[in-house]
Amino acid sequence: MAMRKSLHEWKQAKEFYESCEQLTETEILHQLENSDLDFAIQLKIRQLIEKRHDEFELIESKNIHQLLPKERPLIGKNIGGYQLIKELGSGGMSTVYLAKKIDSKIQKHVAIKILSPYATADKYLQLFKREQQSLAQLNHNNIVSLHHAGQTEDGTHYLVMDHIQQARDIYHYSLEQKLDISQIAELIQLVAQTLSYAHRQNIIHRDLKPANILIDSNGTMKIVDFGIALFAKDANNRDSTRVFTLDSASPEQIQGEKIDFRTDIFSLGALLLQLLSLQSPTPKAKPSHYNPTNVSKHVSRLLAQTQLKPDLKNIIQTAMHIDRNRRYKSMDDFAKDLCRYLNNEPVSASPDSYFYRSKKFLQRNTLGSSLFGIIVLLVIVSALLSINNNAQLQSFEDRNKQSMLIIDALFEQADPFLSGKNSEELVTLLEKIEKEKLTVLASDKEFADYFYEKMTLVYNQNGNYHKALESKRKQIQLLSSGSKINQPRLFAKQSDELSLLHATGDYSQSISKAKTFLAKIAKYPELDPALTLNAYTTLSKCYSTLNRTAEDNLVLKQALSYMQEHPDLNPEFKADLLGSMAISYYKNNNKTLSNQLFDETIQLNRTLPNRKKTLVANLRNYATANVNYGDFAKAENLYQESISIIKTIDPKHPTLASVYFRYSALLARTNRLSKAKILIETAINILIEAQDDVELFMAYQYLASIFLRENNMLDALKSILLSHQHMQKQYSLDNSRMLKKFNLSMWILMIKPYQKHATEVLRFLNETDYSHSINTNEYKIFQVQQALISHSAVYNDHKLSLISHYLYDPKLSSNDKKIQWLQKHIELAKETANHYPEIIKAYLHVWMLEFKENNAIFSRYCQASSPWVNAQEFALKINLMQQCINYASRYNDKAPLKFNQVLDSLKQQTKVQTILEEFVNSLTNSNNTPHSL
Amino acid sequence: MQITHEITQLLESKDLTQKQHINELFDLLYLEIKAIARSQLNKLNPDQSLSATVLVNECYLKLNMASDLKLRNRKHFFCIAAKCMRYYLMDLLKGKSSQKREGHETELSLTQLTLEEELNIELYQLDEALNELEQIDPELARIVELRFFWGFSLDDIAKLFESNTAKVYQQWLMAKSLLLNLIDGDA
Repeated sequence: MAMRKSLHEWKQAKEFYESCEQLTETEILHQLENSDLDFAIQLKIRQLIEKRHDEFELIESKNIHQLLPKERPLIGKNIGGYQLIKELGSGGMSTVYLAKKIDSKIQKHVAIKILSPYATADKYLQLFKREQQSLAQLNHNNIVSLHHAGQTEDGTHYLVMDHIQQARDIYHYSLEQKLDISQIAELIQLVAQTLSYAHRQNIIHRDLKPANILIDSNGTMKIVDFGIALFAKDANNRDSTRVFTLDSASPEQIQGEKIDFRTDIFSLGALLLQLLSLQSPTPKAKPSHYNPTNVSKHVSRLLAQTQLKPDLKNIIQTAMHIDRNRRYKSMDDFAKDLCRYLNNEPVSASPDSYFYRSKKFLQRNTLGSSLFGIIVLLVIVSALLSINNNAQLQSFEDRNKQSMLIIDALFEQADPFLSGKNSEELVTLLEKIEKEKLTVLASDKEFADYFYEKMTLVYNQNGNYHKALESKRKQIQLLSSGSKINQPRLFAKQSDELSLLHATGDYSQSISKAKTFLAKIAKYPELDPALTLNAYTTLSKCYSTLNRTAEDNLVLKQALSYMQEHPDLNPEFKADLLGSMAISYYKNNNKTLSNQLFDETIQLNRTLPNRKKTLVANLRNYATANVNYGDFAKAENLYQESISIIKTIDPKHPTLASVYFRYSALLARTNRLSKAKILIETAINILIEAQDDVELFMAYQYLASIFLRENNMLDALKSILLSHQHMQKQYSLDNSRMLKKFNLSMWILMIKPYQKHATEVLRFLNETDYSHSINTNEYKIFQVQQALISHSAVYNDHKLSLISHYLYDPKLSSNDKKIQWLQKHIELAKETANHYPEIIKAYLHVWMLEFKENNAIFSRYCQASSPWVNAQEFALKINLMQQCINYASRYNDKAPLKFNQVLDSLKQQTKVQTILEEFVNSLTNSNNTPHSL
Repeated sequence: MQITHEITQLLESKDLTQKQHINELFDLLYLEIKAIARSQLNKLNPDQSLSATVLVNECYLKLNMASDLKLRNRKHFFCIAAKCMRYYLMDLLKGKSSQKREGHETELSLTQLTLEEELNIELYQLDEALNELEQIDPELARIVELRFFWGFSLDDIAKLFESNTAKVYQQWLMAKSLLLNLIDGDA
């Protein structure tokens, strides 16, 4: 620890003195003159000697306890004709007692507030006097009424007020009575109305906290302690003492600015938030280091963790806005908005829109009388009626123009990126329409075709692929029925179905249908080449997910040559195609082709208009690929390009957030941790505001990675749990993808201190349907994890981050060292194979399952450019395996029954010994050069 | 007091010269002592001032440190306890106590703690100077803490340090001198 220079000198001075043990002081001084010590030190030595004779009264006369006075309690004393019975509570500068009037037949109790005798007289006296005046002015059923004020002979000031029977503060009352959300909102609405009254009397409360809002035995709410209330005209007085509770204090209060009515609005909003979330509404901060933006971040974060309706969240955010001009204009407005919320009317705090208002309307009215639905129905019916009246068949557009316009209006989104934001209201409306117009849909083919097309689109955007597939199938069924079949359109929709099958994870069906489809349309060469190419793409994606690389490469080849045969493709379609092929080639480790295609598609998208979204997606994917190849500089350029593109359109767009957290992973890899963290946190804030659960799920995983890197397991775990929360809100979709993402969390959760969280997560996972993913590796891993959790042997007592060790241990800096390290562990595994409990063998099975077929993946993991998340998974497993090995060597435990079952099923699919051997051989034979591409 | 067991374990099992363990112990003890001090202060008669000896005995008994402890550990315990007491009281002085937010507990508030402004300032200065003394010679700082914040006599301290009173007295003089110089130096 670095010492100040002067302290160091003192130390030397002291040591010099101590070295002159037996000498007298004069002798010491003499020695000093003959020494060659620094002048500064010599001076200090002299000062030491001098002060030894001085008196240090503070520490020499008494000890500190003798210095502390004890306040004399006032119980039993007579104050202004009342006798104090007991103390009810105390605050910073006053104490409240229960009292009773002396010599009076009325036994009514009152509350007496007494100013602390030790309080500095003048400052608080001013406040105190004001309290008398203001309370005297207020006359309201929900405000504690003041009887009178006075001063005793010895100068003690006091106030006599109503005593509130069995007072509980609003926070505890809410917990006690288990109030639900609307009850709390109602209560706060009442408080707001009461405060509105006080504001009209020019009184600001200034210290609204739970302790100041009491509920008596009759359930009546009473606001107390207008103790620091100021008259509005005195609010300009800068000298007014700052006395308030930090929890619900507004930014302007903490920063010592002018206070007005709106500070009460903030505090009441904070109180509402506190009651609903049961947590502190503002972040802990020192007034000296206060940053108001932390408040809004904190509020957003708290709200994101609740299940409140958006309207209520908006109300709270409006009330607690750090810019007071953006808050409610008056307490009255606040109260009114709460009232509207409770009655399901549109709230002023929520952004107004056609959808919003109609949603509210629908919520207020029952299904049968839905006005909106009726309108649509009427339009359709009238359209149909007009057909019946005219012999001619009108065109599709004319006939249903009005209803189409309505539905199209529903789709109007100014979002250039068409992100998958939750459009709940849209879905609700569409589903309502479907229900009500079932007969119409059955009879009007063309309308139904259009309708289901749109519905698929909406579900697709929402990420609800199963429902999208359902709608698509309805559409196909429709198109393939009846007399006049529109073959091209039918084919087009069947092609769509293929992609949706892939999206829902039904790979086998997708593959077989794609093959049949390709065979069928080969007979129709005049069809849009896009259909064939789409089928190829879907096939490729399926093969790629199932790790059937050879077949994948074949399909890609076919697709590329087909593309060359049809040069007049729609350029946008071509760009999309090239993009997805680039990804496929990347997955197959064909770096050259992959990069080539990426460059082509990006160039194409740069030149085409309105392709920003795809361009950004391409840039992002290309960047990811480059990160994996170790071309960090190139990746960084790509990220930065995407960031600048998105920022010019909308700096708060969720897509920007997704680029941010991928970029942050790169930053973390290149040891720019602090910047990485800043980016992720920015990303998370954007996503929280946009309420984008899909991406938040990913973002928190990335944040967790960074915490792990810092050995901060607790925060990593918290982030992962947050990530899970958002996962739960997704409709999901591809269960195998979901499982893959869970695998990482599960390994971490197996570390002993966090066991209990693991079981929670497991419970959630058990409620999900995995029927489509049973054959995937991820599911097998998941089963092993389940078994491992129940067998406590695997739990690791180390608190160090295993991942950090593997990735950042300086001893494991180079690739060869890492491979050696891994080889060593595998050798160990081989040696002690006979002594392993079954559990470890199963562990190895799982490990092998992931890597046995593709040595290239393993090599990739060993390189410095391994994918961030996968490398962690890998390292974590390696180290956990080490733990298993250690455990095995200490005990001779038998695996539980459940575990043997899993093991058996795995054994049927693989042969342990041969695979282990093969694997080790391949490692010893491989060089350190990257797998040739 | 459920932490008692942990404290005992810490004191007996671990090597207390390691800074990390001392810090752990400190964290545990701080809360304990705060709680004890608070209950002590509440019990007192209006006319009686707080006796440090009473406090020490209470702490000692409650933490159940019988003569089972090795002497070295006793010394460490009291050094840390005195430090805790110092931090606790300085916190009170600085008004940092979180008890205000807890609402209705009786507690020494800022205004009750000291009689005059002067005394406050002196205590602040002492605190700062002690931090500096710590860097010069930690043992001297310990002695001051044990005497002023915990209330031990020089004899008590000598026994605890397995030393003799004369020696401790010399150390005391040195500490006092250093403190005075440090305080003056900054003034």
